[in-house]
Amino acid sequence: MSITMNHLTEGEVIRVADDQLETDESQRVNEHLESCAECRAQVSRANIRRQRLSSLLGASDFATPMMSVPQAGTNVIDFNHAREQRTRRSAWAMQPRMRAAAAIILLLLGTLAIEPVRAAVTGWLRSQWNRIAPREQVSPPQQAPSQQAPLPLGPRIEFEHEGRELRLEFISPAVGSVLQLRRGAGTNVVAESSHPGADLLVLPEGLRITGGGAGKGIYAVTVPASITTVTVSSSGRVVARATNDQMVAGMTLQLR
Amino acid sequence: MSASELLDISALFAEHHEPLFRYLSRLTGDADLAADAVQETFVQLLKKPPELRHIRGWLYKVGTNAALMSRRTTSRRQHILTHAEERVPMGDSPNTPDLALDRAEQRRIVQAALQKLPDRDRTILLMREEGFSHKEIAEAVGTTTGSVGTLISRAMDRLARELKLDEEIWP
Repeated sequence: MSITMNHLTEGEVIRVADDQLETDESQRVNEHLESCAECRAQVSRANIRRQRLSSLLGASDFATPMMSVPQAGTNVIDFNHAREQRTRRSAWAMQPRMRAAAAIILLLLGTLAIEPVRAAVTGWLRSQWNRIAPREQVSPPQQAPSQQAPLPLGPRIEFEHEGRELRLEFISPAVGSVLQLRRGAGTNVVAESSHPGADLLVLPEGLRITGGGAGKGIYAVTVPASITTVTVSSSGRVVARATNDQMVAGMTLQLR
Repeated sequence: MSASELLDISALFAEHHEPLFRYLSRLTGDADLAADAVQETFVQLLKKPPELRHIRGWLYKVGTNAALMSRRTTSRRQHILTHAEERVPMGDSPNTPDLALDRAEQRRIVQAALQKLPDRDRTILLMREEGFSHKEIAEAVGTTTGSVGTLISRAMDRLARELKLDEEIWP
């Protein structure tokens, strides 16, 4: 099947842009993105739209007025209250009637083990779901993304890492939103590696280092001046973080 | 009783009231109403606190309900849209007149576009702006996590048309 038959849905495009892909779809979506320029363009457009909306909102916000802490007889919030209520509900649920109801439900669920019953139930549930759930249109992108002028480049940071994959997140100062490193998203990121034999790829899902084994290398990333914070993750773990005032030329962030 | 489960409201208020106000003022386009909703939210927090680990999502959910309910019952929406230029919002800082005018005009345009969206779509977009995950957004507005992306996409399509987000007028 050709690539164009498998374009990302509009929901998937947003989940990529927001770094919200589910585990079970991540591999398929990322593989598709690596080979499909049209979908990368859609992701890029989603990122640009988000940045522009953030910019508009930030520029038109009300200043926060002076507000005093509400008084309601006490200044202390008792979060145990919620836990105790939950415990009471839990105890109530174990009353004889509730136990009987639970047993009936379990019995009904047990019938789902029988194939014809399961097929009938899942078929009905699917038809109900199709009626109420928003449909994700599998459609080709409607227009190409805007060509962005490169942003002015800011300070240069260097950091070391030992893993094979890095993920960088840049925090925008305007609204505190997190921008994941992306190719062609208007965030002009330049990355280079001093690690011998390692290829450094700027991919939609982040910065990927291939080859070169697990040896230590120094990687330099040049980010726009508007970036205030950069966070580096390796294998899901935050390994380095630097704020703009720390990002001075030639600085090396040591991994924890 | 665990001491860690008892917190002074001042600390939570200091941490959350400003972003909550920003979110609610964007949601409603009304700084006065947003400030009232923030106060109401923290009163509710004192009366009926959620589990501590859910505090942020709870604040935004309760704040959203308080703000939207207040706006509906007082029918202020039409008034705000009609008289936006005449109002002097309590939240505005004392900028120079030109700067204040530019800001007010930009706010009017952005708010007009936002207010054309259904409450749910506006809530979803603005919670996204505040950095909530799709799962947290889904829980707040009562939908499935998987449909949040689609709802965002469609709402952004509408906003892009209204606010010219796809046009080459941006720096």
